[in-house]
Amino acid sequence: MKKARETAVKGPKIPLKRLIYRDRHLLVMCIPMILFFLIFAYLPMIGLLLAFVDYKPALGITGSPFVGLDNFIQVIKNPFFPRLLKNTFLIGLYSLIWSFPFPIVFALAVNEIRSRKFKKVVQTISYMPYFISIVVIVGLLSNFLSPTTGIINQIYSMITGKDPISFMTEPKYFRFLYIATNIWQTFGWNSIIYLAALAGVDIALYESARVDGANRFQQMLHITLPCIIPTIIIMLVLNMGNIMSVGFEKIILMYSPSTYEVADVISTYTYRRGIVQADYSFGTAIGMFNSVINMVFIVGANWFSRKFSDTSLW
Amino acid sequence: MRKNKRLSGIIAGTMALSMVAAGGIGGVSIRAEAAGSRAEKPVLPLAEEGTETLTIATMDNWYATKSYNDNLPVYQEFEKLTGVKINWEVIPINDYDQVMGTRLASGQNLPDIFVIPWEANADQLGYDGIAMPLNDLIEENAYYLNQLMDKYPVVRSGITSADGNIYAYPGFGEGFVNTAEEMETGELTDPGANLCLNVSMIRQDWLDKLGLDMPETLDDWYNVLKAFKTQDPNGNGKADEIPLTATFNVRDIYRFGEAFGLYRSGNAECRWDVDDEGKIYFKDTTEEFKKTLEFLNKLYAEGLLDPEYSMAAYDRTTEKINRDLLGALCSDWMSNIGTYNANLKTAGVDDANWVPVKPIQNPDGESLIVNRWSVWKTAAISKDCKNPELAMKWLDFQTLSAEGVALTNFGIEGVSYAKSDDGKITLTETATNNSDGIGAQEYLRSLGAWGQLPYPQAKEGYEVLWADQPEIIEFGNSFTADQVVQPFPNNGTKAALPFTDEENSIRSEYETNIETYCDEMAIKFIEGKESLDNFEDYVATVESYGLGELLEVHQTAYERFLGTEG
Repeated sequence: MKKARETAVKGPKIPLKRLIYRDRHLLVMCIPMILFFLIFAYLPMIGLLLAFVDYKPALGITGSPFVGLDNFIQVIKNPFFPRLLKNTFLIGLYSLIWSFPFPIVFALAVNEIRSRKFKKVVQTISYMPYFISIVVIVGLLSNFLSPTTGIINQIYSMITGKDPISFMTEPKYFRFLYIATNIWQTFGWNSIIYLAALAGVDIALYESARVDGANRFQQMLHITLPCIIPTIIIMLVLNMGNIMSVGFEKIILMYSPSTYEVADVISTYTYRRGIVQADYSFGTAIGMFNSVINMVFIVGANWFSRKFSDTSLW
Repeated sequence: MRKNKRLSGIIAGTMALSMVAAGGIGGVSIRAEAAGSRAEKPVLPLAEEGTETLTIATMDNWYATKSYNDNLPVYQEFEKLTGVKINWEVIPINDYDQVMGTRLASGQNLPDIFVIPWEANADQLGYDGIAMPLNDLIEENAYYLNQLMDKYPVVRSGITSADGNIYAYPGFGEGFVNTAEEMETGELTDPGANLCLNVSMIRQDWLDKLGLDMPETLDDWYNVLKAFKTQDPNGNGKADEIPLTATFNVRDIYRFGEAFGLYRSGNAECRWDVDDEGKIYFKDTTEEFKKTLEFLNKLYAEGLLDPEYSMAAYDRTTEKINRDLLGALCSDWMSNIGTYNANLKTAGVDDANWVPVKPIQNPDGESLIVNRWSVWKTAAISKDCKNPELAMKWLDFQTLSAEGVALTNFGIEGVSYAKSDDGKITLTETATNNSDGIGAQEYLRSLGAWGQLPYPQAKEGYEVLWADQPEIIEFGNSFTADQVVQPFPNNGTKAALPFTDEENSIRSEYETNIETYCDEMAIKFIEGKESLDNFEDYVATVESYGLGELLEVHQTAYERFLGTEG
């Protein structure tokens, strides 16, 4: 592998012009994507300057007074910052740990279904929750769990004879409810990418394994799983990069002051603060902070993966 | 006890401040000098037909099926009367803050008139040069608004920003305009207590069933709630009654502070209020608030308070009402009573009767009602407006002329309302019993009335609308003038005390932290997760989060507010 790379570098030098001419069709096809990223990912980065000024819309970004790191100092000095950071990180981490394996297991299971029709039905049903609006999901949740009118509490009280539990206002249930509903909503949808990877596994491998006397479970363990490991790792690295991007709409809908201590995350805090006054600069600073942490995670995960396996994003 | 003489407090404060005000506070001129002549009564049409157009950006109609884009009858009528054609730029309600907010932030291609987004800071739009300063424009063109500001100086205070300029044309809740007619005659009458009040409500039929009297004191409330819990007023044999809940905001239940002289300030549960000496105080750290929490803690411990009160939201509350479970609610709008009773009747509870409860007696034994805060910074004229005089004249006519008030409150004569010879207005059968099966107010909205552009909610408007619920109107009218408390100027964005830019950054630095902490702790105190013995520590923490600075900022802004009132 290493050797091949070296020869490629040392090979006969083709002039750049020729290279461009040779790959012109491919390059033309790249243009839309490059433009997309330039316009929607790189150009907005200029907006990050907001974090360093005291933004006044009429003066524009460059005209607003420069305040250096003041906004960041405000973020760090904030008495709630440690808690916000902790809540954001924990919800992100637990979500990753708990919801990451589900689509993989599900994809493996679906892959073992023999009847094509049944397989399609199972898949379709599993995608469905993904298309339900979060508002509706949280509405269902609070209706079912209500201590006074909810069906779950009624059953619970009937069976145990105890007082109903106020699930939605007890901080200790918040993360569980948040993550469990997330898993339910997304595992089917997220399994698609693994199913696609599974479809690419060479049938010949299974045939030879069968000849060697491997049963279905052994085939899954020793052929299917290793074949999708690269996909799993890439997905994991990508997900690590989102660890601090906690779904803000859902928390806004689910939380209340009684669950702030576990549910109040960076984005919800910024939102409440934004209501008092459109504090663009503070929002940008805290958002940038978030992105930097995400960046650290994704780079770290990638480094780790490159070091201990052959797969990595770059 | 803190607020039973609110008005005298304001007056005393005003006098103490008059000297400061004369010199201007902090280099800010309090009252803009009138540059030109005072506005005359406008002559219709305002412009020759077909010559003038105004572009207006607004969120869409509350009644979503009829968009302003469809040229609704009320605005057709306005076009006929004024000769000015309206170019609508309508944005769906839920997108308005975002779409308009972005457009205003970019500051380009602005419409002539725009409705100020809910979450925007109206004053800031002025400081940023997006909204035009209106002082002279109002003086010279807004005949009706001038009339109103002369009679109610608080209107001027309510829309004047910290730099002394006015950047918004106000919309009004109740409390200023009584009838459409009086805007034409100029003889404004005193409206007294609001009709659409925010009050606690209770099931009168449950009280009757259990042989209880309407609660007047805190002890009465406790006994009534206890009876609701234990004596099965809904008669299903189960103790499933929820005696009390917050209606749509966890802070609703702090209304019980009334018993200790802590009053809710009008529209939302505002954390700030002013005492008899004109000093601003923060409610959530007072001794009275502690007593309120003690009472609520007792309710919670005995199961008299909905365990879900901290998740309060309208849909949950309505569900509990409709299932015949709820006995009383803290703080709801009078306008909802009719719906609650109708829903319960549909659900088969024929004798269901929700009624408003008079406020709890304060330590002096008085039951005082707080009016709504009713001046809203609703519409602005943008810096790009080419004919600001016309825009102002149009806004003023639309909002406060007799024709305007009638159109925005009752709709179209002959369609939605009829006028008898002695001037009495009644809704037509078409409005009250319409073919679409919608309520009368929704019907009026489908015509363009009760909308998004500024308008005054005339007392007459509610009387006409609620003609079939005389008991609600009687409730509002049952308060005598000395029982009515004028509200503290909300510190919400549209009805803000006039804060300067600098004060706003102090607020944004401290306020969210304090609010987060207070809300969280109050719930812990009520639910017994934190002992009220630790109230002192709680107060100390709030102070360490910058309460002192915030108090100072509010005090300055309030004094500035009083200054402009003078």
